[in-house]
Amino acid sequence: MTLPVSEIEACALEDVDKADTPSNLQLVRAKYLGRKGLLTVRRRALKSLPVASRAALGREINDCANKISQVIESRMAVLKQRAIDDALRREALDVSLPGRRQSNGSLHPLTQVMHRIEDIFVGAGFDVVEGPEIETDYYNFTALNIPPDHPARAMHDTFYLDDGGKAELVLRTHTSPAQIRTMEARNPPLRVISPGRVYRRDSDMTHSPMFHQVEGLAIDRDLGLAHLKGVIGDFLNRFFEKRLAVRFRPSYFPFTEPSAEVDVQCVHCGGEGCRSCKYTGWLEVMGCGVVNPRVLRMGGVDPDAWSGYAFGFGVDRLAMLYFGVADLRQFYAGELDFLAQFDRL
Amino acid sequence: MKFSESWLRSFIEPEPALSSEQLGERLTMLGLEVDAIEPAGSLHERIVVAEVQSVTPLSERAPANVCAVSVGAGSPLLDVVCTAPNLKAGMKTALAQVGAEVAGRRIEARKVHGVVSQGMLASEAEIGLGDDAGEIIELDALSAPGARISEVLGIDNDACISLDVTPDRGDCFGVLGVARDLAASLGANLKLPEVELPSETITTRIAVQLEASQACARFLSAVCADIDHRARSPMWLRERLRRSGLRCIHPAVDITNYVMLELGRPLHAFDRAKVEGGLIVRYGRTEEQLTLIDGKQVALDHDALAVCDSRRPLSLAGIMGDAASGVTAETRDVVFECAWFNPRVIARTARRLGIQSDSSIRFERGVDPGLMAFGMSRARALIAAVCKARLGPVTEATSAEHLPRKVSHRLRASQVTRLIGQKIAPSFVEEGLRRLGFGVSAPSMPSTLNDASWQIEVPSHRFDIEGEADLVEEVARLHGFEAIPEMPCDGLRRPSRHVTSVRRLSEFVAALGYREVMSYSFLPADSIGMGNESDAHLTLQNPMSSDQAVMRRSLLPGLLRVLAGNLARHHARVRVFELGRVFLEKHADVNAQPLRLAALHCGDQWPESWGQARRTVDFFDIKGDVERVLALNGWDGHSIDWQPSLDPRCHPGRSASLCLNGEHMGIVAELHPHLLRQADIGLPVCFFEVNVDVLARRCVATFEAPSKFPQVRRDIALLVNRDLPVCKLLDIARQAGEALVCEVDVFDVYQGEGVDAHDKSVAIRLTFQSPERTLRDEEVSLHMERILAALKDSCRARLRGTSHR
Repeated sequence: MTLPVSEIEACALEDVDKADTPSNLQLVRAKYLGRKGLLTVRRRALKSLPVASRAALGREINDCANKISQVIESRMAVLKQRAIDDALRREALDVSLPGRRQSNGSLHPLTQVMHRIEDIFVGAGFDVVEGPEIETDYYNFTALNIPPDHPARAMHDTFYLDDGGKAELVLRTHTSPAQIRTMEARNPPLRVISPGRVYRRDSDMTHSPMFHQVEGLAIDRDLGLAHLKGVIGDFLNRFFEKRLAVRFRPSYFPFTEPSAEVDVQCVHCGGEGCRSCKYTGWLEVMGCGVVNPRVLRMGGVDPDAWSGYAFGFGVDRLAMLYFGVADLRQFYAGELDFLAQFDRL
Repeated sequence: MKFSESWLRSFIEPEPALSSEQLGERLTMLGLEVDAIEPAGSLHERIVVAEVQSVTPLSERAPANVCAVSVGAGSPLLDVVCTAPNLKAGMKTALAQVGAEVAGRRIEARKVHGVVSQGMLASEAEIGLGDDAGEIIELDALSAPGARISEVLGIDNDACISLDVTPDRGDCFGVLGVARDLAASLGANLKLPEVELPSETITTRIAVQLEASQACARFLSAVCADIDHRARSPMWLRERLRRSGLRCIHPAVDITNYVMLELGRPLHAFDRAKVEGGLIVRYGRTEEQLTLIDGKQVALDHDALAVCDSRRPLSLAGIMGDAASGVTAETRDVVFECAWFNPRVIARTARRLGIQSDSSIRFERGVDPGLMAFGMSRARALIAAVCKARLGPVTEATSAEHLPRKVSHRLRASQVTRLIGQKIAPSFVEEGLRRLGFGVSAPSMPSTLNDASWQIEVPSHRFDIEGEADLVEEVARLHGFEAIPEMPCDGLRRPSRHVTSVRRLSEFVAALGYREVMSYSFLPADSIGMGNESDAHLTLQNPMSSDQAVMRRSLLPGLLRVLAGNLARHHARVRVFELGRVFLEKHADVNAQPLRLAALHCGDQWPESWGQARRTVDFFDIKGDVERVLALNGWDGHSIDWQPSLDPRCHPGRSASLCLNGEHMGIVAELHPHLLRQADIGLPVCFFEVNVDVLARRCVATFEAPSKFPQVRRDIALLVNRDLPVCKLLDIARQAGEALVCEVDVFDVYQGEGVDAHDKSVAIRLTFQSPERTLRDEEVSLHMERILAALKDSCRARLRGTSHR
């Protein structure tokens, strides 16, 4: 009793359809095409048939085997793909969950502002130098043309170091000593900025007993007010990232002559007048001037051969304007909630 | 310096055609920074001039008078009830009419003892023109009845200008000086006040003796006798003082104040009756004392200059008078003092005694010695006019050699161009300086036209002109800073040598998840975390508070303060760092004030997360961060010597001191539980602090081509004494392996079951590689034997197991 080939084929196709995994499909292949598979057995049985009928049946068996093989192949591809898809589906994650990591760090807002300032001046050919925060009376005052009893000393509320009443060491009240130290250490032409901490006996919303300044000094053959205006105007525009009106008005510093204060158009009201600018439309941001020839001489530079300009400004003040911080003391309180607002590195 | 705008304008001819705002702008741009321009006052329009026609007592019971006042020819006389003692028929005064608003109150007609009072005759205080509340205002006889007071007193069109005068411009502490600058900038003329001095009618002199002629080089005295007791300073004078923010006290004092404001020339007035003999200007003697007019007691010394009579000091020279020698309501004769004091002497005394007065502010900055006679005349003429005083002659004592000398400086046209950066016309230079009072010589033109120069004589009112640069500034001010072009910076001349390692460091530590903080360089003397060096801290002589008394030697106390603050604000996890200087020695030298980097971590190692088990931070977490910081600067963990730290702030078994070639460069630690208890912190805290200068001494990288030949790895497990530092095993393995060992890593440390209690098992992976060839197995085994032998010799290490990979 043998089944017709066509029936075997029909059964095989049905079995292939039913096989839902690659291994089940392998079983189907074995059932029909394996060594003891139905078609293999039939092919082997051909030998016992008369030669005349062998050819036709043989062809029929071969065709059937080829067809089943093809169907199994394509079914196998589908099942394999499905197995991969299933595995991937099982491995899927909720990608909205946060990653495993260390918490965010940040640079202090004053550091960020300091870096901006340094970048701008370094781009204009200035070196960055540092000086001591405990400074001698000589560098902080005398060498800057502020002798004892000079009225300008009353402008600084100076911290003195306990040195048995000699009053020789102070916490520097400004970064200007860098002018003298630079001239002593280098020969002109030179361009430097010197950022750092400075100290004055003062504390309220806009004053802290410790704050930061940047001093600038350039010495060359013929530097004057016009060059100073160029550098400072350019710096302020780059720093505030917009074109602001800048004005220079004459002022007084013992170490520069001529001296100027620099105002920028108020960044809050655009010059209309508001509380920040005391309704003047201007914000005072720095002092500057042409280096006083006496100071050049103190630094060992010949004023007939060289001239230069110097400037100095408060980093904290620029940072307050830049970020819109109203109380300076927040910079020094170390509150994480405050610091976290400056996450940009 | 505050003054009325109209006063300033009165010195300039022709009067400037500028609005108040433009005038203020002009002053600011001249370097005389305007702090504020405020209205001179505001008076209701129904406050008018009234002429008192008659005065009748109101009743016998009440001490008041009823007077009939006229407020203009066309208006009916008004009845007004008034109690003022200075009320008299014929006077002109201020009437707040019915309907006037005075201090927020509306004046109504009101019935007093049967008389309907049609308003209020006003004192200065009542209408906001001063402090005097006792007497009603007395106006100039020429005032027209009915005219608005604000118009008569020139309040309507006036403003009060406050200047922030820089300390170099003593001359601008007087309206005259401000006017001189303004006139020069406008190209207008300066007009001095005219003084008509009545002739002298008495001969009394007060002799003057200059004992300290270096400190006081010139002194004028003059007696003004028989001053009218009832005299009051006239309204115009009172108003000018008021608009300058000064109170009226006594006509003689008001006049000295007036001259001081007008000319910047302080004067002093003594009561003649209290001066015994002549005046002597000398330094104080110990045990001499003064009670100043502000009530302050000061003890004199050999450094304090005083104006004395034959018995005792009468005033702290140039600063403030003694209460007992001053002018009072009883004074009959006044002695005016007009002196030139050395600025340094006045500044020193004022600073030491902590006294600042209108007078000392001016003397410290320099007062024009050329204006002394004029100032004296101005005061004498005013007291003659106001108090009907009879004038005596001026007595003068001078030590000419100690007066400031006339100086002159050369000014080169080339220097003007150079320091301003723009060519300025020589005629502009000459005319501008002349208008400011400088003497300008004819230009000399030695060789080339460009090198013209002048000899410039500095006027006696300027104390800030020390050389050519100061003269250039004067020219630049008049030219206008706003008119100077902006020269672009000519870019990079040479590459900047800026060392970026410090910036990289802070950026890197921030990227490790630490937040940067900045704490004060000064600390309370008893801060937690200062360690056993507390005594070595540098102290401030004049801290603002005991909280800021000593200079930090470590960044830990500041970070602990930040930590405590944040724990109090309910942050359970704090990861912060600071980069800043510490102060080790009393030297103004950066090496004595080295830059440190410190970081602190408290609480869990990771932020709380669904995907990670919670655990608190420990020593090896923070050490890992230190190693990464070291690596950033090119230092291998094993080029550093990690010694147990002896720092009392650190956990003795969980802290290390870092040494680089024998140089201490920092510590890394879990903080001592004792310290944490002291600081009331209930969580473990890890901390490191490193010396940035040592850290940033970066090794320069040298390139070696990576080997193309395969690596061979061998793992070994060793038993060693549990106290043996593992780094010693690694060092020895590295040495014994010679050039073929390229890496030595620890991958397990085990103590417990199977290992003796005195021992630990350390699993080490050795990686062999040759740059030249493939290593043979026997070769590696030979090296392994050598390494094991070395480990056995020096560390008593026993092999527990081995494997090939």
